[in-house]
Amino acid sequence: MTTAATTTRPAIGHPNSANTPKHAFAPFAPFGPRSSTASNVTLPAQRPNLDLWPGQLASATSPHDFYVSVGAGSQTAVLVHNCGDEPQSAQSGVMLGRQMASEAQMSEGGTSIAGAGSSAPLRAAGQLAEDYGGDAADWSKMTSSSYEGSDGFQFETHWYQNDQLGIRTEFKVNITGGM
Amino acid sequence: MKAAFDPPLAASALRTRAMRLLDLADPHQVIEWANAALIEDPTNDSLVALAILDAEDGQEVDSALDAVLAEMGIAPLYPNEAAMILAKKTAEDIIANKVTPHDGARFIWVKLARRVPEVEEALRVFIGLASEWEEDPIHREQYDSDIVRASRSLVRTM
Repeated sequence: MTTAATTTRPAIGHPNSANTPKHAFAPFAPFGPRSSTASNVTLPAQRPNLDLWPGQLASATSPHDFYVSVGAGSQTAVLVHNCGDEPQSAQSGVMLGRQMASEAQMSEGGTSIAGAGSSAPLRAAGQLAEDYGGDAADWSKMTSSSYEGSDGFQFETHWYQNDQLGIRTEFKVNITGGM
Repeated sequence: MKAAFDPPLAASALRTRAMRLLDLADPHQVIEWANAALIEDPTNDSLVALAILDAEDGQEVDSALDAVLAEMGIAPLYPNEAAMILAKKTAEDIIANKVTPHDGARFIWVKLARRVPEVEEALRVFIGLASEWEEDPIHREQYDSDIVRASRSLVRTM
């Protein structure tokens, strides 16, 4: 069970990018407007036995990727990744908590997980330098801490960063549990 | 009590305890494992005691599994040890092509590194590689190779 993949990394949030949504973004919720499917995600299955990888792997099938707002009036797009539908009613309190957590994550200093400051390569660094400026070697991918709600819903925010230019861009929420 | 245990059985018992400790296996699965392990070692009394338990009582199952480990001379696991045992097993499975590099790396990211903060730094490279694999389709083949390389490095250091 997989979803289709796009062929290029969307330059979300770049003011000159054709991929940057110009409309008012939906509130932080998985029922926001779907704009694209960015990746092909396959998750380990619920194991029927104690082999870690027993045969066929289950995967995330739900359509995913939603642009959401950072806050009222914000023009910063956040791509919510790997997210399924939920009933809109009776979710507002939960969604508010998630939105607040998401905003808190985006204000964190973050930890480098690829590129500058990390042992993992950042192969999009050249494209990032082309899109936003600076040296490719100065670009890094960052992660926030992980948030887990009382309902078990878990996510973290990733983004690209260039400390030399003071740029943080292309924020993306990664759902990591509780679906 | 036996004087020595089959190393693969001991390793399997250790992984089973690690999975249970990190909530990656339920009591039913532990009892299924015990029944399968009895085929390898039908004279093991603690395995027999575990295999005949009612899976509804998770604590009892865990205690019986600990008894199996104790009989093998294996000390109780801490979560950080459990996470690294499973990370190593996943890395071995990535290298052996039993799981795709991305699936394995994402498992290490979501199920191990994020659940056990003490090991997050040691496993962080998998977070970055899995995240970029998902976001950068153009370079997926390279990221697959990077994940295999990181897996080899992890296995070498453990």
